[in-house]
Amino acid sequence: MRIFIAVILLLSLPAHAAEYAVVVSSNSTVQAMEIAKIKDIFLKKRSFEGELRIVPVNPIGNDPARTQFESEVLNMSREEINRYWVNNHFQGISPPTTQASLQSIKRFIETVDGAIGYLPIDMVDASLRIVHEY
Amino acid sequence: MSIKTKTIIILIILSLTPYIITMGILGNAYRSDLEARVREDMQIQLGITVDRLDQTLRSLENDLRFLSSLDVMNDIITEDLDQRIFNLLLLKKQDLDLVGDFFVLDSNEYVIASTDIAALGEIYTGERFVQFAVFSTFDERRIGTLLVDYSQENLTRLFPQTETLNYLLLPLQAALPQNLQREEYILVEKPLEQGGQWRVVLAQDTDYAFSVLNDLTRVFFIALMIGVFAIATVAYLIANYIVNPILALSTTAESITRTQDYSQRVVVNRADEIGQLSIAFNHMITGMQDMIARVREEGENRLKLAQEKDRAEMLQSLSNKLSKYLSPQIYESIFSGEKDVTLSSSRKKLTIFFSDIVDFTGTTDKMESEDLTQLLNQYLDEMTSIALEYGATVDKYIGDAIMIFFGDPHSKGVAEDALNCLRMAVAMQKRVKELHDEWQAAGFTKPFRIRIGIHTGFCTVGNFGTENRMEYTIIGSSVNLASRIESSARPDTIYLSEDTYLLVKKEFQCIPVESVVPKGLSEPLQLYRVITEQDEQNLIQLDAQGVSLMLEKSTLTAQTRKQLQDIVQQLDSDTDVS
Repeated sequence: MRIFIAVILLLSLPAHAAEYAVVVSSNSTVQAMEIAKIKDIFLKKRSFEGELRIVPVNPIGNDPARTQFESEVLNMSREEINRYWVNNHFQGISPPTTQASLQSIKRFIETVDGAIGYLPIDMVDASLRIVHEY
Repeated sequence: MSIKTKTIIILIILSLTPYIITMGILGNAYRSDLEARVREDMQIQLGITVDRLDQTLRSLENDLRFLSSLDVMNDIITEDLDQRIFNLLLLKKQDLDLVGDFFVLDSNEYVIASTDIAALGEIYTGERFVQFAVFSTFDERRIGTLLVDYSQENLTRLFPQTETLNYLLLPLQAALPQNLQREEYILVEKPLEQGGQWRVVLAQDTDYAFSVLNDLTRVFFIALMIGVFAIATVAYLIANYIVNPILALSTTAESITRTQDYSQRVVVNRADEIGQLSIAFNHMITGMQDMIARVREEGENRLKLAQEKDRAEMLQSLSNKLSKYLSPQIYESIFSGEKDVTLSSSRKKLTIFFSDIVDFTGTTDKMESEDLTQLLNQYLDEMTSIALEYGATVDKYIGDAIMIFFGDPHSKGVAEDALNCLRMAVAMQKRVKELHDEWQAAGFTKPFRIRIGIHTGFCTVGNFGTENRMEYTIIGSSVNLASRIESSARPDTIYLSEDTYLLVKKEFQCIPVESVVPKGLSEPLQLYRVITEQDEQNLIQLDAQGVSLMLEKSTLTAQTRKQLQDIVQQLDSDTDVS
């Protein structure tokens, strides 16, 4: 219930220049990352950052964070993205794992080594590290 | 055991044998075969069911495998904060209509997601019917476990719902329930390929499995009972049909034996062998009846003959006894039928003979009665034998006297009759002389001497008396004269009347003796004495001129001898003087 309320509150916030941030665990060795690398990671063109296996995670559906991420970071429409993953599916490459909520994404990033996701900036706390803002 | 009972038993046995064989085949061979078929059908049914269960379990495993591979399972990492796994499991449970629950455990065995809400956050300790390891989709590391607490109901509800087939899902090593360990059930079992160590047991009640056979057997048994009754009835009727005529024969034979009624017959109402036997029996009885009638008739005839023979013998005996009282001639005449035994008479010229014993009373007074009767019987017997030898008719015995006549019933002529009478008389005197020696040798000091008188004349001869008592005899003056002549005779002599003398003088030498005057006659009759062989030595007879002399030496007394000597001396003296 608290999570639901938090989401509502986040959605009700007025948009601004850097509302979302690509984050990793604060324990991660990954530091700041340019947008092109982030795009490669979420399109599974890049799986490692050094020795670390990178695990991208998306929120499901039409979450605003995802929509914003696809349009600003990936710079691709949903149709392009779907077509991209259909093509890659036959090559054994599947889209990033998903979580149903931003809270889950935060828990996922905190828990899984090499996990990388994107959240509203206001959800980022000490357990996370921002590698990119958008 | 009677033929009837044997026949019934044999017919029942023969008739029941096919039934019993059929029942035996149904009860054993068919039962074994049917059990094999039932078992085979049950194996097929069980195979289908087990395949269905295996398919269900395989589908379950596939579902779990699929679920475990879903990206959403990555939510294990985030403890299913968004309940995506829960929703997924719940949908699957509803989809499968699962009796039981899905559980998703993290790597520490804590329940992250489950259709059993109460188990969330707890370490899972329940059954793990099917479980799959869940790997993260992004780095292939194990992040948890997906398992199902699978109730057997999910499988048992797949069992076909029949009242006659009992399906059981049992662990491989588990024993059968106690109620199935009896022989009333046919059991087949098959292990499941999926789901671990499970086996399905199919049990069918033998009563139902063999219900068709049992029904058939029951029908056969009822048919058997009806058959037994029908066969027994038919056997009884057949036995009666066969045996009753025989019993009738036996009963009739027994009745005939008991009652000796040979008019009884067996009723013949059939033309088979038994009927022929009955006909033959009746013929035999008819033959026996005829034979018995003949035997009875012959017996009666024989009895009559025997009775007649007895009567004849009795009559013969009586007649023999009578013959002793009758003259043989009279006896033969009467018994030969020549003369009727009626009061009748005729007049004939007969030669009548009388004899008696001289001084019988004086002779016998000193004798014992036994000796007297012995002597008298012997005498009369000897005399009668001689009389019969010469054809005489012995009229009667009058004490010691004998009355005999010749000329009736058989006559050889008056002269011949007279001659035979004389011959008889001579023979009698001769025999009496002979008997003298025997009697004296026997100690009788005074033997009998007899005298005989014979006369020939007309007599009335026939049966005299009454119708109840008759006597064949002769009556008349001639009879009296003959008796008188006899009484006039001297001992050891035979005296004749002149009538007889004239008839026999050619053959017998006679000398005239004293005359007698019969009663009723005025003039004396000249009597003659027969000269016998004894007399020829004893008598000295001289008939010459101036002399007629007859001397009987045996009777001469001393005085008579002296007188004769004196006469001779006187004659001698007269001769000398002249």
